[in-house]
Amino acid sequence: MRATNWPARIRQFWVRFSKNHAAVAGLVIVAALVAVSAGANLIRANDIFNINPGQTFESPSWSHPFGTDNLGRDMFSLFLYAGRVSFEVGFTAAAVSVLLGTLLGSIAGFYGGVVDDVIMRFTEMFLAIPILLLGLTILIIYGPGLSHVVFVIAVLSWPVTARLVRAEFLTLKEREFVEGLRAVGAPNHVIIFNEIMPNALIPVIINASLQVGAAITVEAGLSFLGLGDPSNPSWGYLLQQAQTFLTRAWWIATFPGIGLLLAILSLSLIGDGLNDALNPRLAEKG
Amino acid sequence: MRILAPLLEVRAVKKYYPLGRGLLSISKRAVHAVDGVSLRLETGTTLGLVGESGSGKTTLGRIIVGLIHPTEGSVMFEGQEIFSLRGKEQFSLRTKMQIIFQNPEASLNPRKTVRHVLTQPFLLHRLATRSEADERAYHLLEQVKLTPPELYLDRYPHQLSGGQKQRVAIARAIALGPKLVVADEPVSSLDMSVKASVLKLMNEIQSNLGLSYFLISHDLYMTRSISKIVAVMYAGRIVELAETDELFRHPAHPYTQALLASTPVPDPAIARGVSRNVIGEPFSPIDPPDYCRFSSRCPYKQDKCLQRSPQLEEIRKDHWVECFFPL
Repeated sequence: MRATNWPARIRQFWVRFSKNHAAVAGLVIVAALVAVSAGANLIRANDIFNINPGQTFESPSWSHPFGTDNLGRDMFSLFLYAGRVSFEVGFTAAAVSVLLGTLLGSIAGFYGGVVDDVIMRFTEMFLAIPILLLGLTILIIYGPGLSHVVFVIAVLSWPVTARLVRAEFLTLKEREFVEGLRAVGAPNHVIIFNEIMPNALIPVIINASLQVGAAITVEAGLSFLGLGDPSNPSWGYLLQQAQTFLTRAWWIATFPGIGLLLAILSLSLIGDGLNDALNPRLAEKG
Repeated sequence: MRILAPLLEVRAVKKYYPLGRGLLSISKRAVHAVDGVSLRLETGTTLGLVGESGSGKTTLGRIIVGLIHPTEGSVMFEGQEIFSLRGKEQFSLRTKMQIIFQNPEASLNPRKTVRHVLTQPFLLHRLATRSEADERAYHLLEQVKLTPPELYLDRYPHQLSGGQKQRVAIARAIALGPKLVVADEPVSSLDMSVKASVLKLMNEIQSNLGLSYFLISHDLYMTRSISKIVAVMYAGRIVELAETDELFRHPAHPYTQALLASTPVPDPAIARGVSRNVIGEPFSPIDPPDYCRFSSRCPYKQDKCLQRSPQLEEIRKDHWVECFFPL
C-alpha cells in the first residue's frame, strides 16, 4: 500500500510544483550546477593548484572558457571545484542545522513548560548573536577549515528551524490523536518522532531549501572576509582573491559571482515552489 | 465488608487550573473545572454524563482515563488507584481503559493509515507479531462494520467519511479489549442518520464485549437512549444522579428540569414537568462562590442557597440530588 500511495503523492506534488515555472527553472539550474561541480574531476582533470606563469590573466577563450587568473590557473576548473566546496558546505551545514533545529524544536514544543522555556531561551540567545561576528571570532580562534565553517553556520542557523518546528508541535500536540496515542500507552518518543513529526515536516522541508542558500551565502561572506580555507577554495574565496584584479581582469570575479548568484537565487525559487506545492492551505487560497 | 470493588470509582476528584504562570505569581486564582466529583460505575453498564459546555464533563472524562492528573481526589479502577501506578502496571492499565473523542477529524493522525492505527496498540503492547496484528486489525474493522476490511485497511483518514473515521476510532478503542471506554460526545459531530448507526454499533459492541461506557454528552435524549445511569453536571459538580428512567420521570434539581425543558422532545408522549425558565448567567468558573453554584440562575433560590453549598443527598433510593430544596 505504501508502495502504491507514494508515487501518487509524488505525482501530485510534481503537478503542483511544476506550475511554478520559476521554481522549475531554479531546480534545473541548481541541478546543473551541482552536477558539474560534483563531476568536476571528470570535466576538468587539471590540478587547480597548478601554476602556469606563462599564461596569466588570459581572457576567456576556447581552452580557458572562464579565462585564467594571476597565477595562470584555469578559472573554469577553479569555478567547478569551488562550486563543489560551496555546495558541500551549503548542504552539510543546512543538514546539520535542520536536524539540530528539528530535534530541539520538537522537544521544546512537545514537552512545553520548563523544558520549552530553557530550550527557547537558549535559542533566542543564539538568534541574538550576530552570525558573522561569531563566525569571524570562531574562525580566527580555530583557524579556517571547512568543518569549522560548517560548524559555525550550523550552530548559528538552527534556531530558525527550531522555532518553526516548535510552533508546529505546539498546535499538533493538542490534537486529539495525541491523546488517543497516550490512551493506548504510546511512549513519548514514539508520539514525537513517529506520529507528530510526519505532520510537521512540510515547513521543515521548505525551510531546508532556504537554509542551503543561506549557508552558501554565509560561507561566501566568511570567505570573502578572508576566513575561507585556501586549500578548499569556494566561490566566495575566489571572489575574495579576485578583488585586487577587478579592473585588470573582469572574468576572475565575474564567473564565481554569477555562480553564487545563480545558486542562491535558484535555491530560494525552489523554496517558493516547495511552499506552493506542499502547503495546501496557501495553494487553496491562491 | 466489601465483596467486590466496582469497576470504576471516582472519589472527590478536583481539577483546578491555576491562573497566571510565572516565578513571581502568587495569585491563587484558579479555574475550577471539576470541583469535587464522586461516582461509581459497575461492569457492563453505561453512565451518561450530561451538562452544558464548560461544566467540566470533558475534563472529568480525561481524568477517568488517566490523561489528566486531578488536583485532588482519586480514581479507583478495579480497586486500584490509577494515578499511583507506575511503569509496567501503568502501561498495562492502558489496555483496560480507552477513550473515543468528539471530533473524528482530529482523533486520527492524518499521516497514518487505518492499518497503522489499528495494529499499533498490539505492537506497542507486544501482544502480537506484525502479521497477527494485521489479522486483528482486519477483525476489528469487521466488528465496526467497515467491510470488506481490505478496502479500508490502507486508507488515510482523509479518504474516510466522518462516520467511518469514528468507526475506526471505536475500533482502536476496543482493540485491546478494554473494560471501560470513555466516549466524549462520540456522535455529536456526525449527522443524524450516521449518529444512529454509530450508537447502535456502540450498543452492539457493549453487549458483545461486556464493557462499560462512560458517555459524555450534552444531548439528554441521546443519553437516555443508551445509559443506565445518568449524572447531571453543572459548574464542575454532579448536581443530580439517578437511574435513567427515574431521572427523566422525576427530575429533582432545578437545573435538570430546565435542561429537560429546554431540549426539543423527539417523542411528544414524554410529559414535560412544569418548570420555570432558567434566567441569568452561570458563575465564572474562576474561584466560584462557596454557596450554591446554581443560585445565580435558579428560579427557586432562597436565602439558604446563598449561605452554604448543598451536598449530594439521596432523596429517594438511588436518586441523589445536590439541592436544599429538591423539586
